[in-house]
Amino acid sequence: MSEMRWDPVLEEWVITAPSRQDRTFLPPKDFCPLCPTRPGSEPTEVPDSDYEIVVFENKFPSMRAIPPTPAVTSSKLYKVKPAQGLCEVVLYTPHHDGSLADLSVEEINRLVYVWTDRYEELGKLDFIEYVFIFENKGEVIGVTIPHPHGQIYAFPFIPPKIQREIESSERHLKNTGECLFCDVLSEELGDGRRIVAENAHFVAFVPFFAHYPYEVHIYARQHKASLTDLRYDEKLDLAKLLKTILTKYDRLWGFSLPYVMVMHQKPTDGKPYHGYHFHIEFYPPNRTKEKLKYLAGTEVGAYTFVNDTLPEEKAAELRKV
Amino acid sequence: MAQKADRGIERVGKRLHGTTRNWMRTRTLRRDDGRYLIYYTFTNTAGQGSASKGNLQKNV
Repeated sequence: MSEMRWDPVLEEWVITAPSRQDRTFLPPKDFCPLCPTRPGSEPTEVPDSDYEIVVFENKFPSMRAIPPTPAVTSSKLYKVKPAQGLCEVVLYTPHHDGSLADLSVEEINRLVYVWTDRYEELGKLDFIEYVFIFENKGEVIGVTIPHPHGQIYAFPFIPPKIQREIESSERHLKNTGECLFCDVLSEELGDGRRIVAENAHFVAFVPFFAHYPYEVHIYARQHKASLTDLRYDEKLDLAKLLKTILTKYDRLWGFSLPYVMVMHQKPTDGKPYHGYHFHIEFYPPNRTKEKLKYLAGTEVGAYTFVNDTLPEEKAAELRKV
Repeated sequence: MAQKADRGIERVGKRLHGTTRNWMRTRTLRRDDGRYLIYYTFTNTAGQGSASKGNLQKNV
């Protein structure tokens, strides 16, 4: 049972998925459903005894290619649609312990190719308008299985945050003739205080407008709208910079830092998005080694973030480690 | 826990790195419950890198 319910006040879709309440929650240490199936052992999600990278349909999806009939019917005000989409799980490695940070640059580079392939393949489906690649890492983020993995949600609509980025970047393009993201990058490089790391094709920085203390954005130097626009040397540089940032996160306090990682790419609905610019955003929940930033009154109720830190200082901390 | 998977479908490999040497291949399985699972393997036809997945080289 799941469906999309329209919120006419905020003008956005909410997906109901009560079946996800039954999803696997912190399985016993001696059985991981995301490890390969070892000979003589209980079968896992992956039938083979070894793998490099695996992608599979989530067992507890909030959207399906053939969605169930909604539990409720639409009214004039309350629109309801079947939750048609796809939810995939991406297994980064057959090794249970560790994280994306522990993979080699070569392994991360392969993952970049897999992300690119999924973006292309899912984007071809006529009911998909947006392919959203992300990773939730760490128990405090709500991760229920620790095996290194990410997820992909292929939406039948453009999610509100992306839509907002599209609208602001299109306005900027119309008003200035320039890409908003290219201008943000230019501003960051010109200032320099918030740059964390960079290479020939990508730059990582704590943005001037960071919502979270250790938020890091990775922008392509060239104006590229999606992973599919990246050449092989650009993909390799992306893998290298991801490795650099992830390593810095883990060195910061000597433990594997939890985070939410999201990829923002142009929609796959076939329309032109000349002002859009591929980038990756990291949102670690920690504001100190022991304290977390919780989304509370102003963030949840007013969508106004209060950042208790200065981005310039946090970027300097990340540069040092 | 996992569903029994059938033999699946081989998809033609994708060439990587702009050379003829590096390939990404996929093998897709369909489970009894209808969900798909895709194995991604990477091979180097020059015998370098990760060519550890059995008979991939002959397929490219």
